[in-house]
This record gives sequence, C-alpha cells and structure tokens, in this order.
Amino acid sequence: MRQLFDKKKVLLISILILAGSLRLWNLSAIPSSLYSDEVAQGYNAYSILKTGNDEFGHFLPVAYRSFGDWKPALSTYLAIPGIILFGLNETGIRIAPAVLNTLAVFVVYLFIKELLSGKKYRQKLALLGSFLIAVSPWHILHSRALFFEAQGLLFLMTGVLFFLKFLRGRILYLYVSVPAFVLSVYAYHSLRIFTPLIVLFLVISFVRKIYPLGNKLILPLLFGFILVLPLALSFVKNPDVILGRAKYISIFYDREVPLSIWKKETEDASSSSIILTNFLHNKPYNYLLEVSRNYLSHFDGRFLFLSGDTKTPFQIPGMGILYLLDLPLILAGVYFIIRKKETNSRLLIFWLLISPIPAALTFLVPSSNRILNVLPVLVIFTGYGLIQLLKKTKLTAILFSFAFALSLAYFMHQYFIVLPLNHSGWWHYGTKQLVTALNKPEYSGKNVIVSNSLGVPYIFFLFYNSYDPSLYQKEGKYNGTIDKLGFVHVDSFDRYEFPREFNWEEVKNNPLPGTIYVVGPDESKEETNQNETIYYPDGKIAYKIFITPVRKNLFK
Amino acid sequence: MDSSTLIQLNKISLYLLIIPVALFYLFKINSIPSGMGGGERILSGLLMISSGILVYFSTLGLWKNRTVSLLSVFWFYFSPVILTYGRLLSPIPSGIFLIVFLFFSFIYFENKLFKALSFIIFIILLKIIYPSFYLFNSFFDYKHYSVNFFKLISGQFLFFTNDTFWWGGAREYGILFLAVLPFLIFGLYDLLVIKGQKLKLPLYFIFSILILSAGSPHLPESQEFLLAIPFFAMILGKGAHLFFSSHFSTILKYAIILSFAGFFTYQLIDFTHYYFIHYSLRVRNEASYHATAF
Repeated sequence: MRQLFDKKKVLLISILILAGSLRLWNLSAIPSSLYSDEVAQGYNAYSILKTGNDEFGHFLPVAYRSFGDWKPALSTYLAIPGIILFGLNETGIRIAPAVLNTLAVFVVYLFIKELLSGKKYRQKLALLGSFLIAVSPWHILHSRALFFEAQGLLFLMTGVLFFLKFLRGRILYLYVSVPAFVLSVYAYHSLRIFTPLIVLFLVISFVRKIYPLGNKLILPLLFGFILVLPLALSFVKNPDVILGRAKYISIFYDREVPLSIWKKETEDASSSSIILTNFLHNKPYNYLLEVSRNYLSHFDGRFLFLSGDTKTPFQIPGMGILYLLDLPLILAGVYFIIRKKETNSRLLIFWLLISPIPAALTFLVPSSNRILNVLPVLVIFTGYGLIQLLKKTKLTAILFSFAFALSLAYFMHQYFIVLPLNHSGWWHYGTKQLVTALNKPEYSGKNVIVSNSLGVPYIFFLFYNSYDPSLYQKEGKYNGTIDKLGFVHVDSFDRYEFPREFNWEEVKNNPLPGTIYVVGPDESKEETNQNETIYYPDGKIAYKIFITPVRKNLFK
Repeated sequence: MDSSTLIQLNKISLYLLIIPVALFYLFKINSIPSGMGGGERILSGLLMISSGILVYFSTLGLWKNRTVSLLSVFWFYFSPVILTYGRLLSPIPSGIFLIVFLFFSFIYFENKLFKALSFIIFIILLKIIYPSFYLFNSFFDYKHYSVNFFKLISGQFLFFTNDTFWWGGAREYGILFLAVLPFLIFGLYDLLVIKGQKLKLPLYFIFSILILSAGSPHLPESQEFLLAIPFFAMILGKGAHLFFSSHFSTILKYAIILSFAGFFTYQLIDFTHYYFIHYSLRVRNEASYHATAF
C-alpha cells in the first residue's frame, strides 16, 4: 500500500500526465496546420512506407533531399508507425514526436537523478526538472510538430544517461548509450557537431574509469561503428547527405563578411599600405567576430525571454522561448552550482557553453531550433536555483508557485488560443482547405497553376491527396537549378503546375483557358472576382482561386 | 623586490599608460572627427585621463591591490568608448568623471553625510552638464523597459555594435573589446562570491546605472549607460587579476594569457586603424549629409 502511494511516484506520474496532456491534446488542430517541413517529412515517410524510396526515388535514405535542405531521416522513419495507425494526416505524423517527447520528460527525470547521484536533493531536483521540461514552452512547441530537434535531444540525453550509468560499473549500459548517441547524429544536423563534442568531453573527463576496461570496450565501439556506417557511406557517395544543408546556411556561404572586408579594403586604398590592409581586413578575424557575435546572440535576453525566435514556425506570439521567471532562477542556479562545485557541474557548464556552437556557424541567428539541445541544462539550472531560493522562506515558495502558474497560463493562452487564431499563416494554414477545394468534382480534370509566392506548394498537394508515391516518383518533374538558398524546384506532377517564374500581373491579362489559378492575397490585391477564397481563422484571405472559362477570357 | 620598489613600479606603469592614451587623444585632433575644432576637445581627453587616475585610486582604496588597480585603469583607458569620447566635445567625459568621483567619495569618505552630499552634488552637476539625461522616464513601461535592459547586457551591444545615430562613435565596436570577455566573466564571478558588501560596490554601480538607463525612452541616443564603463573596467581588472593568479598549469596559463594578449592587441590596432581611417571617413560623409540634408 505504501509503495502504491509513494509520494514521489505519484508526483512523477502526475508530471508525466501533465506532459502528455500538453503534448497530445488537440494535436491535429494546434498548431493550426501542418508546416511545410512536417508535410515533407510526412509524405516522405509515406513514400518510404509504400515504396521503400523517398520522393526522389532513393532507397531507404539516411538523409533525403526534400526541398534541397537534406533532411535527416530519423524522425521521418519514426513517423511511419503513426501513419500506419492514423493515416497520412495531422495526427498520424505528429503522434510520434508527441509521444516520444512525453517520454523525454521521464528521461530528463532519470538523467538528473543519474547526473547528481549521491546527492540528497537529487530526487527533488529530478522531479522539478521533469516538471520544468513538461511545461517548457520551447519543448512543447517542438513536441507538437514533426520536427527533428526534440527527438535528437531525446536520443542525446538517453546516450548521456546510459553513459553515466555505465560509468558506475555495468558495461551493458554502453550498448544502449552508444546507439543512442549514434541515433542523435542521424536525427538532426546540429547534433552532428554537438554529440561528438559531448562524447569527447565525457571520455576525457572519465578516462580513468574507462581506460582500465580495455578489451571490453571493443564490442560496443564496434557496434557504434556499424551503426554509423550507413551515414558515413552515404556521405562518401554523396557529401550533400551531411553538408547539403550546412553549405547553404553557413556563414561562409553568406556574402556579408566578404562584402564588409571588400568595403574596408576599398576605403583603405588611398590611405593605408597593402600590408596593413591585409593584416587587418582578413577573413579569419572577421569570421571569428561573426561566429562570436552569432554565438553570443543565443544568450541575448530579448531572444530567450521576450520575443523568442522570429523565424517561422518557431515563434510563440508575445513571449520568448523561456519564461521570464526562469531568468533569476537560471542565474541563481548557475551561481550556486559553480560556487558549491556540485557533481558534474563541469559537464553542465561545458554543455551550456558548446550548445550554441553549431548555430553560431550559420547566418540565421539566433536560432531556437539549433540550440534546443541546451534545454536540459537550463532546466537543471532553473530547478537548482529554485531549490536554493525556496530554502529561504515559505513565502518565496508560494510567490514562485503563483508566478509559475501565471506564466504557464499565459503561455497556454498564447499557444493554444492566440497562435491558431491570429497567426495561423505561420503554419501554412489554408493549404489543406485549398487542396480540398480543388478536389471538388466540378474542378476535376482542370489544370491547376499555383503561384510560386506560396513557397513549396507541391508537397501539400502530394500530402493532402495522399498521392501515390510510386506514381509521383515517375512523373514528378524537377527543375535542376538550385536557388540561392539551395532549394530545388518541383515544376509539375499530375494536373498541378508550379511555375518557377510566375507574374500574376501578366498572367491575369492572358490566362490559359479552362485553367485554375491559385494566388496569394498580396499578389492579387485588386481582384475581387475570384471563384473561391480560402480564409485564415481571423478572417484574412489566405489564397484566391481563379478559374478561367474554357474559351472566354474572364479577366478582360 | 621590496614593497616600496613595487609601489614605485606600479606608479610608473600608471604614468606609462597615460602616454599612449594622451597621444591617441592628441593625434589629428583638429581634423578627426570632422566638425568642431580640436582645442575644446582636449578638455574631454583630460577628463578621461583624470577619470582613469580616479579609477586607480578608487580601486586601490576598495580592494587594496595595486595590480588590480593598474589593470582596471588599463581596461578603462583602452575601452573603445573611452578612446572615442576622449576626442569628442561631449557631456560624456564630464559625466564619467563625475560618477567616478562619486565612487571615489564613497570609498574614501567615512562620514555618511559627506557621502550623501557628494551624491546630491553628483545629481545636480550631472543634470547641469547633461540636461538630456532621461533617468526614470518610461520606467514603468514594462515591455519597452525589458527590451532596453536586455539590450544593454547583450553581447551585441557590449562587444559588437554601437547603434547610436546622432552621437556617432565607432559603429563596429561595442563598449568593450571582445577580447576582454573571459575577464568579464571571471570578474563578475569574483565579485559575486567575494565576501563583504562594500567590496561588491562596482557591481552595484553597474546595475544601478543599467537599471536606470534602461528606463530611457531615447536609448541608445541618451547615453546614460556609458557611465557604467569605469565600473566594467574595475570588474575587468578584478577578473584579469583572478585569471592571472589562478592555479592553472604554468604552460597552459601562459598560453592562454598570450593568446588573449595577442587578440586584445590585434583588436586595439584594428580599432585605431578603424578610427583614423574608416570612422573618420564615415563621420565626414555624415557631416556632409547633415549639411546638405537640412
């Protein structure tokens, strides 16, 4: 009986139920629509399920081309069971991340307990940490959509957790730790830098415990080697598998630094010697400054606590990626952990400091998705700070609980009400409604031309029509030219056309007869004679559909 | 070496520090930046040099360590802002001198009445010298205030960008060189763990200034935050001292010190070049823009 009502277990189960509710409730409707990356992953999962190939016809890829961003394939594979169970729809593809990231809350609990083994307060901190990640806006945002980062983080934490367990004497745990680390590398781009650094740190820190094991390590390492082999071989075959994305978003691809050097060299021309100009205006120094600037931008309070990530779809309106209340707690946590020289504090500080490195090498900063791996450490700092502050008085505890409840309520209002109602465009709302509208019997057989201002529309038509992947792999027409961000372009399939160059102002004066045109409201401000209109939930226009008669020109 | 020789050496080092700074302030003072002539600008340079000397004696009175004091003056003199504003006819040098004098009086005056008096005099003089200071305005506009406060403590603002428009300044430099970042972290840590409230005084000054200046509706144009620079320099002095005296292995320690010294020297050379070539060009262009636009 005592075991059954163990207070800690009840608390943990309550936290897991809360985490599950926040991640699973109304999953198909919030966020209000599927984002293009989710749709791409979903359709590729469907394609692999049906044909064994991705949309480009590559057999069981470890990373696939998709829009040209070379998506890591792990989360796509993990979405397959959901698609089998629920079909190719919102629930089907979001169920896997939601469930896995509920599980991540439990892994955080185990992770903290293991990290602080031997400490009196470890149980308390583990519960607090799992609660904090359960209600973290940042983690919830990434759990309710089919993205890569949170699932990669889950594998990373599992890897560290079992590595720490292994250090306590059981080599069997290494057979869990090694594959978990390898899977994290398969899951997300930035973990391909972060995971090796963490592993290196762990090995160097605990070399005295690892070294005497000698030959016993060979088998688990071989196991890891075998697991990493498909990625390595794919890389050798096609370097884009690993570098395809990095190539187009790295600061070395961006022209800003070379341009600023050129500008200064030009200004120097009449007044400085060439030696001085070359000594001061050079790439290594300027890139060092750029990387440092990008790195520090991830510790900017405006990004963390006020406005969050300004890039869609990683925004929560009116708040940062952390609660403002976390700020004093994180500071207190860092201070006390360093001052008291807590167990594994070096690992935590190292983890915190290296987290922004992959993001700092790109020009799209600050980036909440690329530094999600810092979240467990922030949660530990917050929890630790809270424990230290709560020691003071009961009043502090009451005040913090009240403030936390208010913060959570505010987040829930912003995420579950404001986001779907007022910002549904961030999540490509309207695409499903558009595809459904064009599937009406009266439109069947008519060609559909979709404006290029709508991003990557082809994938929505494939997804919402559950278009036969084997058919698409044969008939899909691509434009070989890659744009400046590395994106490939799908020109057409079936009755759908996606012209790369599309100017509505020209097209509307000379449209093709018997054709359906889909345009955005910004490019068709003047016309009000559209045949159908797709609206956002707040009443604004998302898409306009124009249908030209078979002979007569509608617009003249 | 006995202690009196060390004290003498320390004082000589202080004087030696003043020479390059004075030369920086005097070089082409009539023409860079373009605009008002050089005679009046020398006053700013003098005020900055005097503030540095006050920083030395204040930190000496506070922490009783001449090396820390010398390091603090070094970081003070070689801050991009101090170098830039020491060549400009602006209220900033007077403001900085006044606040360092206030700090000095807090350290050396035992009598509370004198301390209160010096605080009142500081406020009055600051308001006379710099009437556009906007302390306390929009203090209760939570959103605006938080954005301002986080901006003031952001890496972008501290190390990379001066985004004031009307006041000018070297656009590509913050208020500190990036090379000093490790010392700032060490210094903040040192002051946080140090026992004794009085010893943490520079920290309280910084936070008071940042908290008050974040309330300015005209941030960053109203530059109250620049008053925090002497205290940043003090923290850097403390941090650098902690770093130099920490128990790393000797080779590693000297390797790190040499790397940072190299990086700092490089940034200083780059700044000097930037100031006399690129900054002067930009200011000249802006001056002609103002002359023709209005």
